[in-house]
Amino acid sequence: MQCTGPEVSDVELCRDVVHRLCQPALCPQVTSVLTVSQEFCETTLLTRGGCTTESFAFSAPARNRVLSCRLPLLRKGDGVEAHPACEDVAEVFDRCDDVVVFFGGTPP
Amino acid sequence: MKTLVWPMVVVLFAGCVRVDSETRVERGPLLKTVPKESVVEGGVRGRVLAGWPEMQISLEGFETCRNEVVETYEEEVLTEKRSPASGAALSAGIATTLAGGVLLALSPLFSGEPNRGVIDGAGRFGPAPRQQVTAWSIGLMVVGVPAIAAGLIGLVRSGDEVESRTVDQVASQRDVPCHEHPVDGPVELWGEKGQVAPRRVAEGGRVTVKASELEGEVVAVKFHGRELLLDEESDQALDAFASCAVLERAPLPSFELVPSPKLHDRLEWVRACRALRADAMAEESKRIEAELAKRREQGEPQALRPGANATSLAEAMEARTPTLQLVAGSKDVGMLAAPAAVEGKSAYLEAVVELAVAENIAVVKVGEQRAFLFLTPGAPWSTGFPVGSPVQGVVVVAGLQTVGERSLPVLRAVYLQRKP
Repeated sequence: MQCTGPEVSDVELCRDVVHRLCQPALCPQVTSVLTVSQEFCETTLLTRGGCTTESFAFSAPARNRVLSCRLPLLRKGDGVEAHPACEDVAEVFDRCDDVVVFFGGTPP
Repeated sequence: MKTLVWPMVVVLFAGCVRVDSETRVERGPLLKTVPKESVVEGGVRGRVLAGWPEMQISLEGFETCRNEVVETYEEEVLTEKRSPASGAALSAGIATTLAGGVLLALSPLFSGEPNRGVIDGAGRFGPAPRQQVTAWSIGLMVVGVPAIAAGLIGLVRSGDEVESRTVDQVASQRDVPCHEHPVDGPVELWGEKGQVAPRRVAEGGRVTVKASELEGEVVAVKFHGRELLLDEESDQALDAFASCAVLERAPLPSFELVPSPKLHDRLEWVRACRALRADAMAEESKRIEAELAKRREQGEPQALRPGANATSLAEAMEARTPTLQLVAGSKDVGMLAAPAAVEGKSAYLEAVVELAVAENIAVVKVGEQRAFLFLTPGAPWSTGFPVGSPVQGVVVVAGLQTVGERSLPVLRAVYLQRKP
């Protein structure tokens, strides 16, 4: 018997990653690597990743790769409104160039 | 396989449940009293028939007839078993199981929607409230049901057991020699230092010993190398025969030169022998008793006293070797205040004659201590000591004597001379 809920869809996962990265105040790494502003961060990244449509599905990077790269962002909590630590955000950018490219950024 | 699971669970819990057990035994009424007879190992005993100049030892083998009185009692063995934890385990188990059951029953009332406010590392939403309630209820029942099982097992194993049985107890026992029969075999007579008569072999359960064959006192009769049991009468007869044999072997024509301890030994043998030869011993018994009585009054004969024939101070010193110095200033002089403690000890004496009490008794003074000095009547050195003369010699401390109003220690002179 599992004590967890159902699996989230790819679009919900993509939106969760974007939401966590764009939680105010923005980490400097987000601004510098992904070149986004606080005001349009979420809209810009959703658009760059293509997660605005409900039929979105991960291909490159794959869903499992995104889940693996997302783990440092959960260290402060797996609640969707939890703000990740900036060093955890930097770790994600350092480890996952493909995710940075997916969101239209330049790998550090 | 599934059918084995519950029996195994019960066995496992039965092992975990602690049950305190206390057993006590209560004696019931006396049911019967039964006499019981048996024959056990016996031995060999001897009887001494002493005559003169021969004695006969008869040997008798026997068994031991044992008469016992056996009492049979009823006895109850009470075993009380208590499981002190079973009540607590049962109540805790019922409470948790009930709580779990209630939660499980109420779980449909909770929302089945997943918690969308949480997405975990595996990409899943958080559990629905219904899922959480169900998990808690199962957890409570997992704890509660075994507790109920443990409590029930403890209760089942608690209780009192009574076992009745009969017990035999020997109330009294009496052993009596029985089935006596003559036995043959080697017989030896032993003294303190070894065998005192030639080894003999009993025939027809009897052996005869002549007095002339005995070389000393007999302390034990051995049969096949083991000491023979003798009754008191036989012990006395053996003692009498051995005493007579000793006296017969060493007759004493004169007692004059026999020291008193040896005379006492001889008197004991004579008295023991009188049980067997009353007439023959009567005369010797009287003579020894008279001699000992005389010595008690007059002391040991002169011939037996060391140094009695000394003709000089040097000879007396050599014969007696003084252990005390009774001279003015010596601490040994103080010992005369309690003469009993030094009675019989030889001493070198230097004194001054203070008073002539009788022909052979004087009071002498050693420093500040006075004493009676007894001279030996007839001794060649025992005259010529006027009052005021200094004397020296060897003496023996002889206790305390009261003459008139004076109580003084007594010194018996072995040799005395005037001090140059």
